[in-house]
Amino acid sequence: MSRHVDVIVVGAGPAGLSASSTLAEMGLDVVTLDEQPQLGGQIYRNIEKASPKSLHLFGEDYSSGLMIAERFRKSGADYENSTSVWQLDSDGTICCSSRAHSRQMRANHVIVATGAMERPVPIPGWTLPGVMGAGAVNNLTKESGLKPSGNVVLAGSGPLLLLEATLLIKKNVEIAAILDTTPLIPRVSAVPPAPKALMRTDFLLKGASMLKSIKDAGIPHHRGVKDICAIGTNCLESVQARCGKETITIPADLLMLHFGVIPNSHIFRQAGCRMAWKADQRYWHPACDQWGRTNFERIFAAGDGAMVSGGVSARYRGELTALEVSRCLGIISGHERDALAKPLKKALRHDGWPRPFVDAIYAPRPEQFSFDDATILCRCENVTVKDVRRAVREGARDLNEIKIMTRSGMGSCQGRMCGPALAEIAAAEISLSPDRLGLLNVRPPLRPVPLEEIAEMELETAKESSNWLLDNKK
Amino acid sequence: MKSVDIIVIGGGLSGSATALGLVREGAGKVVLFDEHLPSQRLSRGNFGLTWFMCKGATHPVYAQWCRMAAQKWPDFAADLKEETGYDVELEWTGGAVHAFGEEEFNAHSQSVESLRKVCESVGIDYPVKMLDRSEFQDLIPNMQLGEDVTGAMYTSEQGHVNPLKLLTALRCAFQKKGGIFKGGESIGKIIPHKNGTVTVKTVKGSYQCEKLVIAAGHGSTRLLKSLGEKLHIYPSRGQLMVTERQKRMLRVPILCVRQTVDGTFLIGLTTEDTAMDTRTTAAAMKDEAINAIRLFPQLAKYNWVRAWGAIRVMTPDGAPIYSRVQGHDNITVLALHSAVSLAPMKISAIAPWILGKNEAEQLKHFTNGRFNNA
Amino acid sequence: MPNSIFKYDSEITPQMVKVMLDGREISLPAEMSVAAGLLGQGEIISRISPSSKRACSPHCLMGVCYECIMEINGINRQACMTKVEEGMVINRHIDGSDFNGKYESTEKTEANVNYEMPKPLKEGEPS
Repeated sequence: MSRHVDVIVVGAGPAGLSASSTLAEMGLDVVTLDEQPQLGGQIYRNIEKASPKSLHLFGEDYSSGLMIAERFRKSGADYENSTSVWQLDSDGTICCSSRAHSRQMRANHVIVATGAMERPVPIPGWTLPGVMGAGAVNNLTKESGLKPSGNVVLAGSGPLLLLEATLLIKKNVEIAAILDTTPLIPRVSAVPPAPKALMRTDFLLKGASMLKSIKDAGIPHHRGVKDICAIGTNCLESVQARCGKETITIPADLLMLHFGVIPNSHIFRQAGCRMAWKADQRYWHPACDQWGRTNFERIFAAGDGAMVSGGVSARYRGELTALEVSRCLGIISGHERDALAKPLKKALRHDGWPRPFVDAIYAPRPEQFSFDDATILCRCENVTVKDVRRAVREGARDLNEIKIMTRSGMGSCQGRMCGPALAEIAAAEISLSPDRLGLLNVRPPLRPVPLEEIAEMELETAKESSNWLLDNKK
Repeated sequence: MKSVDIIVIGGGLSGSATALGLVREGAGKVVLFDEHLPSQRLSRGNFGLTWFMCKGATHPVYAQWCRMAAQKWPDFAADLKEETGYDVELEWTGGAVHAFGEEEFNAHSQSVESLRKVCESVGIDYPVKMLDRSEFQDLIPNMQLGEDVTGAMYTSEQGHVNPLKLLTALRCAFQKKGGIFKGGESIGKIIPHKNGTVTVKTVKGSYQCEKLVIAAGHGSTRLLKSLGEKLHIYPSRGQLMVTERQKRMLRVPILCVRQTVDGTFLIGLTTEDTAMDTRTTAAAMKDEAINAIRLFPQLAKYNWVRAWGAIRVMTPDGAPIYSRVQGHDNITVLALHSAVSLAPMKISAIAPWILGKNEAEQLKHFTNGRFNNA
Repeated sequence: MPNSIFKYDSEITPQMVKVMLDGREISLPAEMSVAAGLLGQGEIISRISPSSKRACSPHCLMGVCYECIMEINGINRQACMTKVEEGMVINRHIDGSDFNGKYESTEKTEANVNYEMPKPLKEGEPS
């Protein structure tokens, strides 16, 4: 039988856990569904089983997850791990799969906290074995105690790239080079937000210490790098890049790519939520009010999945969303909600001070992405940049049109890996902003599901209304 | 105002094929508009069969039309490949409709016989036969039939294609022959003039043409309304599922399951009255999965990766509408489902007819006016 | 064979369980994902891409990229989202025998014969 609960929370990272805890502590019937085997999301991955050494290595940014996990465990929220939501409907119905079994569930409200993912930026050779996301290596360290060996090259842009480098240094991993694509001259837009960032000395010190540790370790840190290329026949052998006028080639066994993070927004798009384009960061996110409510009354977005602002902020935003949901459910009044929200909003503002500054420095710039014709854009369907350009030349003016012509975005990942770059490439061809070309349609299932699971799934059918008093007499 | 010879509104399969036919006939300056509307993309939701079997049971001329189209397919596909380099992935491997149980098998047999008579009435053969279970199994040895399968009706004279590649190839060939394709340009207004020309206003400008073809799917209804004509079509949603790629196993497409050249299995179909709602439903997915597994149990373990809904253009008798608009001999409307199967006819019959070169005798049976008294 | 690009932190001694990998028995650490477990054993190839026919390795390890899809207990699953379990049967099909775009050679019926082009009809002429 299908189940009806007060609130379904999708995702067990900082936003999902905080939202779930807040609601469950109020006595509401909360189910937290998470596709990972362990709670914590990406930032607090494996937090409940982390070794003291791991907690020490990743520092407070990581260990603060312990408290969040502990609170969640005590809250009474019903936690289901390894559970993938594969369809979300605007009325609060979801379909999910866990342990080879699919079912339908319904809630008065659904809080979606699916977090962020690394921005996929295709470079020549990025499909070679040995080329990975930097986040992948971070996950391996947290989850499995694995660390890279051999020649390791980091490439891309963003604070997490440097953070990952410092973590590897602490683990005595030898880094052959960091190829930083961040332009040497910061954007003009980075100047106005700078004073606010200066008010967070803790943050500035962190940034400075990361750079110092990279310098002290003697790692070649090339800046303003362009045209990064992974080279190899059956697997990665070397990395090539242009550094000013010079072309450098570095032998490599592992290339870790990172170009910032973007919301993991497929579920909102599948549900039909209205999406908004964040022009400075060049990504789509669900359009929400201050509490995270999407255009659908029952669907809320919290955390980095709604808009990227980091783990600490995600926690506060999860709680804020929970407060509004509890008001909707009649548990607290509007006054109470506002009173409870006040300190959270203050903390959120404090955490957010450096954000505009960091965002401006590392803002993706279209000229950074020099997409080469021969580069494979869509990994699932083996579609090249050239194929996309041909489709645009043949008149396609919408991403879905390009999709049907090239198959880019039609594979198992449903455009998660090619979608953002597809928009950039096509838009550049006709000198438009990527948002003018629309968004790839996202269809159910959000995750591949074996046909037998669908066939065996029990569906909620409209029940005939009945009189419970009479029913009880029988 | 730009002046052109012919404007085709609607860059789906029918519009694109017709536009290609027109430029091949040397029709002069032809412009093809496509709105790229996400909602009305029926050409993008097609199952991809080039099919005549079962069609036209109550409409002999339609049965004949479908058969003629199927026979043109191999040459049609080869020409497109030569012109554009796009392979539309035609596999001329026949087609089958399975039967579960004795009753369905008998019903299929009767349908084959009655269609054979219908076809005789218009002087064509109907090369369809019933296969018993073991014959059906021999036809597709790498797919184990489910235990309820009793047999199938089968023809060797049809096939399946990649409908998306077809759309791409048609539009590419059209442009290579000098046609102008304008994607993402919506039509605002159609203004016919007494001197026999038509002004078409789009979001980006105005165009004047000698002849106008409206092939905008359900969008045609709105466009024809302004010309005082009611188009007799209604929406019917079909939902489809597709699996991950597998080894090639199923060579012959079945009405509800086919394996593409890429290796994915396409599973269909529903027929629902849902107006313009293209969403998919869990209930339909479940029914389609059950049906597909009942036919081929090995599909149970394959991953379903995507679903979509598309809105067919249905007519009251199921046959296409190819029609001059009342009072405007220079405006033609095309409204139909099965745009893949019938695509070759756009080249061979519809384009010449639009140009007034010759009129295939069947066309008088496909007017919009045939429904006026219904 | 590509180099092993990951190693365990010296302090870690994962508990091992037996699984079948491509028809041979190997030991993998329990309590971690199949993808991580295999990477730790130097098995960096996850599959042959059905579209490019080239070898892939896991890319994102957070369920986004689908490059680590393997047949696990009879169903293609993301190895980074699937925990190692004792007795698991994992097939990566990396010998390249799959997805070669050809049918298995057992076909013997008329469908196997190259199709004959039907005779083209003349316009308006019933066959």
